[in-house]
Amino acid sequence: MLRFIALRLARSALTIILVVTFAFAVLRLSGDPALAIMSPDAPVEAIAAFRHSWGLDQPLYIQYVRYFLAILHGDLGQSMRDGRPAIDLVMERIPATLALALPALALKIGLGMPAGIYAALHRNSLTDRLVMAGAVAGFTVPSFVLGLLLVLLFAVQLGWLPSGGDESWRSAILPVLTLGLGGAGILARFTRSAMLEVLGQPYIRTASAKGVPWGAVVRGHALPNAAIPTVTVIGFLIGSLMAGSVVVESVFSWPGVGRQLVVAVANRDLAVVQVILLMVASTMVAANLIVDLLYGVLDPRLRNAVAH
Amino acid sequence: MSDITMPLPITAAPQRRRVHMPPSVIAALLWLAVMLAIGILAESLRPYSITALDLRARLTPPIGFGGTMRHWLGTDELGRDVLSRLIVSIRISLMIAFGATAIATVLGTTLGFLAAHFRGWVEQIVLMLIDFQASMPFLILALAVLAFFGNSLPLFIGLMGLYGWERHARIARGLAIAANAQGYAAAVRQLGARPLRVYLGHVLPNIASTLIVSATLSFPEVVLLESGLSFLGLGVQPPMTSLGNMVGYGREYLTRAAWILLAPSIVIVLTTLAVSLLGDWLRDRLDPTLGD
Amino acid sequence: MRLPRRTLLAAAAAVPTVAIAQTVTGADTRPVITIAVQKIANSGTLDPLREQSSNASERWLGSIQETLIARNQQGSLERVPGLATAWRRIDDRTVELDLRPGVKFHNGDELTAEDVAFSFGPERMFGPTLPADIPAIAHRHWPALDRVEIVSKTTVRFVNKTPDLTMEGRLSAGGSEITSRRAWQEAGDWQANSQRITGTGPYKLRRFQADNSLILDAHDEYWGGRPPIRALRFLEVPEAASRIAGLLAGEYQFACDIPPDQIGPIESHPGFEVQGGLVLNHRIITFDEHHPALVDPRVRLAMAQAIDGQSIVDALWAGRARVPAGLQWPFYGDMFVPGWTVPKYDPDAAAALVKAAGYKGEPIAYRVRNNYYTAEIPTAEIVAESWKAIGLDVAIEVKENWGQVLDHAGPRGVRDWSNSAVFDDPVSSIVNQHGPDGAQQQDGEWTNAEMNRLSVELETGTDRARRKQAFARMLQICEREDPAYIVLHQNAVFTAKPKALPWRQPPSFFLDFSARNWTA
Repeated sequence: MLRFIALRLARSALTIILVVTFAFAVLRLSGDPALAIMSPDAPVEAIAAFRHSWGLDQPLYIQYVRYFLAILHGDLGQSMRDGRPAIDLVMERIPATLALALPALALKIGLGMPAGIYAALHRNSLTDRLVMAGAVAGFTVPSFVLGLLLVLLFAVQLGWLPSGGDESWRSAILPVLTLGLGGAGILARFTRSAMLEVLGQPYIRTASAKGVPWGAVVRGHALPNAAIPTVTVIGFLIGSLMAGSVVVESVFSWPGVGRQLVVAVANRDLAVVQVILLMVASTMVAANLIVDLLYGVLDPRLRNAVAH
Repeated sequence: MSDITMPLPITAAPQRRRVHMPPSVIAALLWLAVMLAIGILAESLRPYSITALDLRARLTPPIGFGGTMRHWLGTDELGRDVLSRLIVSIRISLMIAFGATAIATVLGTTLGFLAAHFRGWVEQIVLMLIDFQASMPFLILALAVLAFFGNSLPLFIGLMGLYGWERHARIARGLAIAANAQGYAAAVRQLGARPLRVYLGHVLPNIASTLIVSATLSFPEVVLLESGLSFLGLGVQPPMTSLGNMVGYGREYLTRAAWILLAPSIVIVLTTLAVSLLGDWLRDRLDPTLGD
Repeated sequence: MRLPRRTLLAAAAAVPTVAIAQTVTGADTRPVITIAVQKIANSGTLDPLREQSSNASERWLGSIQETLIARNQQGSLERVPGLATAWRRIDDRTVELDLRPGVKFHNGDELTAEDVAFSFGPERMFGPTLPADIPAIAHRHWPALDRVEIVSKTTVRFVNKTPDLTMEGRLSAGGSEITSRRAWQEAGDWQANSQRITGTGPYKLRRFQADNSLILDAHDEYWGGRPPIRALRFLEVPEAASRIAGLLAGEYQFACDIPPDQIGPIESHPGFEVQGGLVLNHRIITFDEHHPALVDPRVRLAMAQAIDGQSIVDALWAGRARVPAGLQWPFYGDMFVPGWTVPKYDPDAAAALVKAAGYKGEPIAYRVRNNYYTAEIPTAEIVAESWKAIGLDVAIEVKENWGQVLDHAGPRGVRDWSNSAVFDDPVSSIVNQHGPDGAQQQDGEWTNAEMNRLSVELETGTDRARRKQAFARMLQICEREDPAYIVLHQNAVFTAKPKALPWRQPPSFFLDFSARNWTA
């Protein structure tokens, strides 16, 4: 077990280094932070002064080494826009993103899984087709279109909900809906598919033939076995929350990390981007570890497999 | 993401069955055939060039909503024919979606098999690449391609192929490891089959159904990703057009000239529905464990 | 179309609110106004120098900090007394100003000459303890400022090292705002002050969250009269559709940066209007004359002649922008060169010029941003078609940031840009951007020896007639003989609001919420 975790941590560290290096190369080589932040209307000498004060006129490898050494010392850098520590800037915005992401995840799971299970249990019925059509509709509409349509309906026409901002808990309803409905559709499809595979297994037929009530068969045999691939997909969905946040936070002018990433990338504000990436990478790593441990819990056959 | 292998369903010998297609699947096939035809014949079908401006005929509505026969689906903010742009967009988006799904599936499955076959440090590298892909926001990858390679369609397809390969890799790896532990794989190897033959001839067909579901999910995701990138200004760039590009730029006119955004959106929804229905049906057919 | 209930209520609610505010009651019944803008501050700071008084910050800056000489926002931006009641020239390089008595800063201090001297001194503007770009920008605003003399508590003198006829203009421009010395020193260094701002304006800072919101409270002791609004809330709403939706739903009272195509739909809702007007900013396209096809000035002139600016204005700006008289504005007053125009639209003559110049068919890259400027992509597509029509091979390249637009790699052809009049003299625009120290020449896109000589004359000359002649000659060079740029159109900015609110859009980016601009 310890060996497993140590190996995972080593691999995670390498992945994070890879992420940081790649982002550094892309951001530095594809744009000029000075021009982005100061705009090309700024006096030429001001842009040069700005570049010099942030070390942007140094050779690339020197910039990288200095940057890397700073991280190792725990200095995650300052934003080039206003000089404040990058970590503070990101920490300020995380609660707002979590306020959308966590309810959206709950919506995805709470709506998607039951829908998929229900559809699987009533395969090829009208309900099954309707649920699947609804699921497809949910994830085929681009999120910003869905968001704008929801705003037009609920904010402008009906006046029930705010169109944007983060003033009250009611402001979060439309963004959470926009963020969650697509993922609910995907999860519904995957859950249905996983349930169908499991329901076709011989041991299900055996249990049913033995006289076990169908409900108990489903609860005791089908669901736990279907849980494994479903948990995998939930892992994917957590990963897609970040991408979804970027769009939803822009449409609803929600002051979260997704929007901050877009602005920071456009400004080539390296420190802020890297803090966000480090955060995302660490979250993915932690999520992976939890999912793998969950596998061990859900499937006794895999408990030994965990050890390599 | 997962190091853990998933148990493989016990396989029975596939049976021959009469092909029975429900009407919804037939409709789906028809729609996809129409889309494919449009995609191939786009240049001959479109009535106007996609850059033909007509500043005096801006934002005219489609036929039936006050428009004329000259522009069946109306015109956009520069007076360009929406129908022509839609036709060419279908072609470009289909190319992107097919190409990207193919690249993602082949790349992911190959890497997954490699990881499952060689284990050891090859597997660790593949797993690291999977983690890297999952952690790197696609925004930055898209930005890199646009910055370094400009608005080149083949490279854009390559970029989109990077989306989702890690899912196929994980699934392929997990199922291949489980399959390796199965009796039939060992038996075939003992009979002298080379590894490639084992994978292509025996393992792949058995995991095909899961891969198909994953691929049919990839297809619409690529189209949606493309529209998300257009929203951020990083997708297919003007003057080239695509479904995602039309939706992205059309959102500003949602209230005033909704047809600019609705036409491509409806195509996206219907095509995705068709691909999903077809994929589900194919999966049901290919998976021998499902009884009727 | 069914009228949303909220919209009617929103439009109706504004009227009684304003009426109530004028009755004498114990409670503060002034309205709270919410304004949705696309961007609050590009730099994430409140410092006019770091922000370079961008379009974004110009919306709110004047509500917080003011200049000695103001611009008449209710007129045509002509110079009027601001924090200074009178000014006079002592000589070619010295201006003396009388400060307005009894002006209160937001922290309660009274404005004195010390605050003025401090605002233009080393701690705030020119010194070594500031981030390096701040003095660089300050030197652009004031290239030769020698010192600010305190003549008395209410009299100051600005002394320049060299003769400068434009000092009054510079005193009224962005970058010359007056800050409270005590407030600055109490806050500490530039870093601390960049997130705070203390001034004499009608509204004071309550809270600033970069990229999110800027909340201001009324400064009841404002010298220009009690502000009519209790609090101003600027909210950053990046999507135009969201700004408009929020306005119609009654959440925002003002929606800024309205795309011209949305004016009609908004005004079709009874109770709402879109105000807008021309601003001191022109959209231009600049040349890199080193591109093989652009070396010959005839090709560049042809490209200018091929563009029908008026049709762009009519199609994309609802006719509410304007094709200007070259790179100048009537705002220049005496320095405006009458009778000058952009090259006449003549595609046949343009095609002939292209042939005469021996164009060999080299592809010309047209680098644009993704709607960094309003309607940038549609404009580029129209312009590119116009150039193709006269026989040029032009390819639009959409770039994701300015570094890529200006990248020397891959032959540079033409690109989008804009040019503002920082103050009422050509030195602040054509010389600033296209002169020898301007970005275009410094970046190696274009140069012209005579233009550079004339620039020096314009910057240091004291004979008004000669300066005007020099400017007229500059226009001739830059727009006809050796084109450096093409002027497409003057920009306009649009703000949507309920009709009931008694507010008028000034002819600038500034949103004036003082009592002067809120007359029932």
